[in-house]
Amino acid sequence: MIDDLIKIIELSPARQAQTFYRIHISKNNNTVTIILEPTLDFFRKQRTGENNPYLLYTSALLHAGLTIGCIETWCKENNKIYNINENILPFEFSKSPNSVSLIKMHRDLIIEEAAAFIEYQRINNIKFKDYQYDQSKCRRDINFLLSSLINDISYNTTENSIALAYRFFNGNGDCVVRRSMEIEVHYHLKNLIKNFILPKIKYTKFFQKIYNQEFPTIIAEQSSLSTLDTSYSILIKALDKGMFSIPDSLNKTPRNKDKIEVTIYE
Amino acid sequence: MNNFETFSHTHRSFDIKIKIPDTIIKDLYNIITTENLEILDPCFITNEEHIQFIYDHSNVPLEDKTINFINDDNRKNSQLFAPLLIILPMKYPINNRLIFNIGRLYSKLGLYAIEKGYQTGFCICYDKIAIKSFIIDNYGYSDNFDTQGIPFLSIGKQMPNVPYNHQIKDIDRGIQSHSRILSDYYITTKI
Repeated sequence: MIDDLIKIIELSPARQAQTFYRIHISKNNNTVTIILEPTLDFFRKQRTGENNPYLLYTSALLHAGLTIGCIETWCKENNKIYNINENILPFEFSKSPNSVSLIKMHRDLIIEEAAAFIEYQRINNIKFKDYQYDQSKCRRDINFLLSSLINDISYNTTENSIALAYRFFNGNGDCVVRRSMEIEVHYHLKNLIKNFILPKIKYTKFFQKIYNQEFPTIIAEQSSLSTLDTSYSILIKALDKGMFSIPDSLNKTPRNKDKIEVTIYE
Repeated sequence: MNNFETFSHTHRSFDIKIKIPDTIIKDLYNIITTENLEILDPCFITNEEHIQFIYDHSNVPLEDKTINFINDDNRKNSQLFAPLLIILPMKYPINNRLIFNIGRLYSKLGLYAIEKGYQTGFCICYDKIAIKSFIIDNYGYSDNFDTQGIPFLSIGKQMPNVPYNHQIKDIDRGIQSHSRILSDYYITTKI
């Protein structure tokens, strides 16, 4: 029985679910239990797709459903009794919607500021005069960073920054980015976001030539400032001290607690 | 097990000319209603002009755009060029369990169709706003439904002599679909 079930999971159109879910199969006496739990890849996906956690979450749930639907069909065809026990929590909307809006409306400004800051350092800072980098990749990575921060602030967690910090390193734990410049950029952007964009204070020391800081009526949530601090400290410490300084996430999002369990009886 | 294998394929070469019999459509409708989910009436699309409109408002996934179709934003997705398209619109507000259960239901529908000798595809790559208005205008729904996150289920016969994963409208261009990664890594087995 277990061989068939493994085969079905491998074959199911929800193979994509395996990038969202870790699938455990275990056999105990006369029962086989299949458990689907979200993985960190689920959160990485948020930075590569449409950058909409809600859409990715629904996609993950749909794929989990496809997998379970295949298992149910197999059970019915083979006269097996089964039981589905799902703990799917309601989607939790952002805890800090105003802060997220403020960051999102300045996304282009922040990305361009990072690029201009690096250029400025290359020209004016002797330490970085030989620094070489790919400008388009730099913009892309800052975009990933912002998505990661937005998701952390939204759900008051550090999971996304932790996942991002691991991407600085290869499988041997070697840092794959230029640490010094990256650290400088992170300090600069942290200062810009925390001390000017979120509190809506006019910032005049832009390195970029064209900028448009906005001052809407919304007020950033206080909790987002401490989350921003924590997330940036994880990223900067990882670059400074290495991969082993990256902590475990203390506060997991509700989505990471979702669990779907199917028990099949012989 | 063959049916599960067929179901694992994303079919892209449907023969649009071979219609789905009413009896099959009725059976599929019954499978949906017996599940008793809190969804609006299922939408079955068989009109060729409507299918053409939906196909014209489809696109290809992000990974395909970046791997196979660089600088080609006009690519369409022939998973949606099938003689029968089904979508299960949800009411607002959307609840998470319902999305999971719609996934379960899609598997049952797909496996039933395969049992009857058809091929299936799932496609979520379409212009959500345009298709939603199109369905409201042509299928009598009010605008209180949501198709966000819900794919079309496509059903049809395979075009003879064309591999299942070829974009039917791109045969001359000879471009295969993007191969999805088999993530065996995530399966853990403990006996």
